[in-house]
Amino acid sequence: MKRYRKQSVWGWGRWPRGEASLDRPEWVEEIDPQAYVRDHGTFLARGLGRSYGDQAMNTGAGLLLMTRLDRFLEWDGAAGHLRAEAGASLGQVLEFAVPRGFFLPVTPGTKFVTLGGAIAFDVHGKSQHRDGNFGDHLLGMTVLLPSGEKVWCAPEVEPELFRATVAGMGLTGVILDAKIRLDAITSSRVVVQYRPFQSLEQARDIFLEGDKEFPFTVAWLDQGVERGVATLGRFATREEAARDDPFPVHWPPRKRVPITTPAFLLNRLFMGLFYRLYYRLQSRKGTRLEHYDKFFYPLDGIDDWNRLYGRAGFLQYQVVLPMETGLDTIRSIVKLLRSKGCRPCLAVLKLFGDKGRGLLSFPAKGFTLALDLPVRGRLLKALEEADRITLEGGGRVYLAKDSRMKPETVRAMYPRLEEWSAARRKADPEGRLSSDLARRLEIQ
Amino acid sequence: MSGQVLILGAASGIARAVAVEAARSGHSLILAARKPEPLEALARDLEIRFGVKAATRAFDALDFAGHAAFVRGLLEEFGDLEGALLAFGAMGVEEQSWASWEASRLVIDSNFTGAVSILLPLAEHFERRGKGFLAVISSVAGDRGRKKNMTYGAAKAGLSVYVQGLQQRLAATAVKVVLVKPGFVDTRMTWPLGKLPFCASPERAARDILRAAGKGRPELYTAWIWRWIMLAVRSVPFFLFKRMKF
Repeated sequence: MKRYRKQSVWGWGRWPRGEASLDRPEWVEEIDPQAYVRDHGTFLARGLGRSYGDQAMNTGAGLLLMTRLDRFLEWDGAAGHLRAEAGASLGQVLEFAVPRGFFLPVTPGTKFVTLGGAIAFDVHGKSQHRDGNFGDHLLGMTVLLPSGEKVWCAPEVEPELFRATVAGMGLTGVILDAKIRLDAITSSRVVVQYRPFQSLEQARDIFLEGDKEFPFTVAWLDQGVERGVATLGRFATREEAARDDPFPVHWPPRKRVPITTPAFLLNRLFMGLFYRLYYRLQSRKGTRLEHYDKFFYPLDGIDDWNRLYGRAGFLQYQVVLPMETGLDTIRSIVKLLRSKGCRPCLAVLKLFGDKGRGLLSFPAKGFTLALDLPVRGRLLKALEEADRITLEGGGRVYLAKDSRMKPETVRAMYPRLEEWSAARRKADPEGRLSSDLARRLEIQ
Repeated sequence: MSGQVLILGAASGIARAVAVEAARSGHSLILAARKPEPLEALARDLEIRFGVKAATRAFDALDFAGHAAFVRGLLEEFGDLEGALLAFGAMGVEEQSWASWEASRLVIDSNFTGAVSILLPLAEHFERRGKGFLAVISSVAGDRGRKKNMTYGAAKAGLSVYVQGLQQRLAATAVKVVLVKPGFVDTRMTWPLGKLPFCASPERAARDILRAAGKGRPELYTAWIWRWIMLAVRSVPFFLFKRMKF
């Protein structure tokens, strides 16, 4: 029986693109590494395609689409432990967990991410400085090695494979299922405080001060990347939520982006007006009660919002920088980009606490800045300079968002890359797992 | 609704979605397929997410002699069956069927002979029970013979006619017998064919099937547009049809 569909695939940034042969099994037993190697040479698991660049691409070779493998396998309602197939999305987990009074201990800014994807990039959320990354709440997972062997690994079981698979970008094996710890919540609504600020230092002070009450903090910056609005949040108590049902779950996306934004709307004037308006609206909100879906996943309500950035696609430049000098380095990066005529469409600042369990986990103590940038010829050159500034500032770039870095830059930014490569070679000695990113960064 | 529902051929994409939707509305499930081991994951999933009971069993559509005992065994073990879905079948590869009688017979037996063989004891149960539902997945391929899938289409056409007869036979009871004719459904079977027109999601097909079973609609096309597509296909005069490539 034929099993592959040949199609063009891309990441969330819609750039770059490449054709691959996709298998989409309905059952774990249908996954067949031997067949993929025989038919395509290399293969890679892919989830919901929310990484931004070439992470989940394997141009000219095999991809294993995990989205139909989304069953729940074990649930311990007393402890809040859930084991599920790796293709289950965080949204599916929430549909189940929220009515039972549980929530994800760590969630990124979209719930349309599979468990496997969340592990493979050790994703973080708005409480990273307190709660760490997704992998820090992972109790264990089953990894299918290219040899066909299934290995259960956990922090203390097969620790080497565990550390290499968390943030391992799918290159150590196929994550088949994962067991995660959920947090008990008092309601599914969030008390949110909106606080405008005029400088990055003010934003930092708001973060540090608000930290006592609010575990979730993030700041939206306007185009100048100086002033903006910080949002601080915590789950509301049952009394504060003040509704009959304390645990309403999220709803499916209700809006679509019908067309890709024409380039002329992405100009300076239009964007400038948009940001001024947005800043005004946001900064006046004060303190209010919001549903978790609005607070954690503001863009999930709109399908395909990535089309807003235009036909050429976009990329996100996310860096982490040390506490002491980070804000100045951020200013240098933004100044450089502006001098090259590259204006971010979206800028987000967050506090980071500690590093993750994965050898290639992104976070480190300090600040993280994420800039959404429409793809242009000059942008790629400018970002190479930005890489240098980041590196000199003691920072690094997030691999889940990258689609353009150079091998030597990554080696300099990720000191444990050698250790990771050794673990990867043990798991996949013949190099059967590969991705466009792995080939571009020469981390085979 | 909360009785036992039996799903034969539970490994198929549509069957899985029906199992989920049936569990969502409170039915306990008996999931049966030739290889029951993978079904365990689905059974656990249904139990965890919907709090229903779900069991797995081995069922071979080609083991005609064992079918009566299979149904009897289930009734002894589970007491009753409120509904059943026949979802097994095999598309086969037409060139192979054309090249060998053995391959042809496999397609005919897995889609038609095996279905008749298991429908005898199942229909008998429902006739005795007097109510419940029996949904049988046939195919739009049975609506007109085409060279690309004539063996599969013929077997499904036979199945469709058999189910129509069954509907008349059970018309005096309150048993709802539904003939399901899916067009393209986005499952592993159609995945390699690429992006297809009028392709329904398995969830959509499942909801259609259970709604039709609830209402007792004799014939369901899912998605609905396939009723009109197939009407058009049947209406094409032969002098044109013989030149068509589809």
